[in-house]
Amino acid sequence: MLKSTLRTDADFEAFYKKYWKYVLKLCLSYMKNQTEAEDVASDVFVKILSDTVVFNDELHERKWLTVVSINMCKNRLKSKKRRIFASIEDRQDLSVSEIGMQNDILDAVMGLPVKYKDVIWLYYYEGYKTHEIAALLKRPPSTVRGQIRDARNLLKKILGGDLS
Amino acid sequence: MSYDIKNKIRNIIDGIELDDNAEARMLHSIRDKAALKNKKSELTESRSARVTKWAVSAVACLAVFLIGTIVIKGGFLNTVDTPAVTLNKEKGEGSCVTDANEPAPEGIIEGSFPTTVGHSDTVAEQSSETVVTDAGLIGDGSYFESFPESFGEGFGGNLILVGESITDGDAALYFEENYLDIRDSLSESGVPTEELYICENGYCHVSISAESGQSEIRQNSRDYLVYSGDELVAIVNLYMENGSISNNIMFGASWFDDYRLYLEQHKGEELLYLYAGMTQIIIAPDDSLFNPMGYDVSEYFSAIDDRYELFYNENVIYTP
Repeated sequence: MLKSTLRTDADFEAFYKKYWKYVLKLCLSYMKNQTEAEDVASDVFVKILSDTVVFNDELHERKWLTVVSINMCKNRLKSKKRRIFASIEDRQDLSVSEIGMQNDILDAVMGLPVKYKDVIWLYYYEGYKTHEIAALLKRPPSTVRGQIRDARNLLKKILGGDLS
Repeated sequence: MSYDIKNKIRNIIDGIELDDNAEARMLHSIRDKAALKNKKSELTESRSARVTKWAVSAVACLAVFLIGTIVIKGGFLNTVDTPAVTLNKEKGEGSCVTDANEPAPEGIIEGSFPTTVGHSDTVAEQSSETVVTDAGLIGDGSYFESFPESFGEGFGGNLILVGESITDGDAALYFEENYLDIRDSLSESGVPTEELYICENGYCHVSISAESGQSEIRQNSRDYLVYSGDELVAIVNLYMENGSISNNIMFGASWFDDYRLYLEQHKGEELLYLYAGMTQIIIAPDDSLFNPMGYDVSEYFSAIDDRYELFYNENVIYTP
């Protein structure tokens, strides 16, 4: 097996410069905590350094980063490490405005349950089709469509407007 | 109030202003974590080496129990056996439960025991770890030594078995328990999983220890080919440490098709696997070389006659 395609420091730094903001923003939307988001985001990049990752193209890179970031965030949210971190450091989740997201829609999105965040991010931000999201998240397409619909309804309630 | 939610979300996320120092902070953290991970990896390597040295030095007093010297083609093999796993062997080596709902395709790869490994509720005492990623690899990577400048005198001949052995029987039990996780991980990553089956017979690799220059076989790391129909879609590496098996799954590699074709062209032949640096090399019984990634590796073997004989060991043999 071939180890990571990022063979040199220069390769990695170029990759990092290209994606760090994207990964950090994605992690922030799940973790709602700057320190933890940075921690998880850095884990994502460590993973790519240590793993055997062969990307076919840029789309593949982005897809990999998206799914790995989401999975790592979800794992962290469930993890012992997070619970310990919370109890020891009296972790305070930041409001979206504190991390520069001064917008009611995103505020509402960040307040959604994780299962809705997945589909919102992948459907609205990444532009994946429902069947692609279903494959990525291993959920039936009908479930994904239902979750998107539910998420939209929740947002509608929160925001009190029509979502086109 | 009406929202074009898609554009709004995109605009807002794109417009998030991140802490100026976050980039440097994360990079620093990545370097620290990567260094720590490397250190752990080195510790694992040195532990393996220590096990080898200890076992070799114990030949005199514990030969019967710990070390068997087996005559093999091209030399002697020192077997370092460190049994540390208790597995349910009732089904016997090589037996896998075929998923009743997905009958195993037959005759796709002759001699490769095409099998759909089903899930069993009878769980053996072992841990499993499947880390889900999207492309390239699921799990932690394998570690190879640096590419030697050339193979020559001193290499081959005495092959030392290192690490806790994984047999195809262990693997069959592991796949019984973890087949669904593996399939789901692949599916989540966009890998086709129709008619998915994992070959029952796997293979280790000869590698060259950077520490001693000695040829060794890490019998705790064994690869299994995964097909969807007749398409090679992944390679599962099973790794045994402290009695626990974990897996690394490689998929989506651009060279899989070339590798599959090569295997088809060498049906029924006992192919020998070897790692040189980060590159996998296959030696056919006629001493021809093949690198799945397409590199010309012949120069590294120019000084070695009868390389197939020299490195031959049943642990590193796969017969497609």
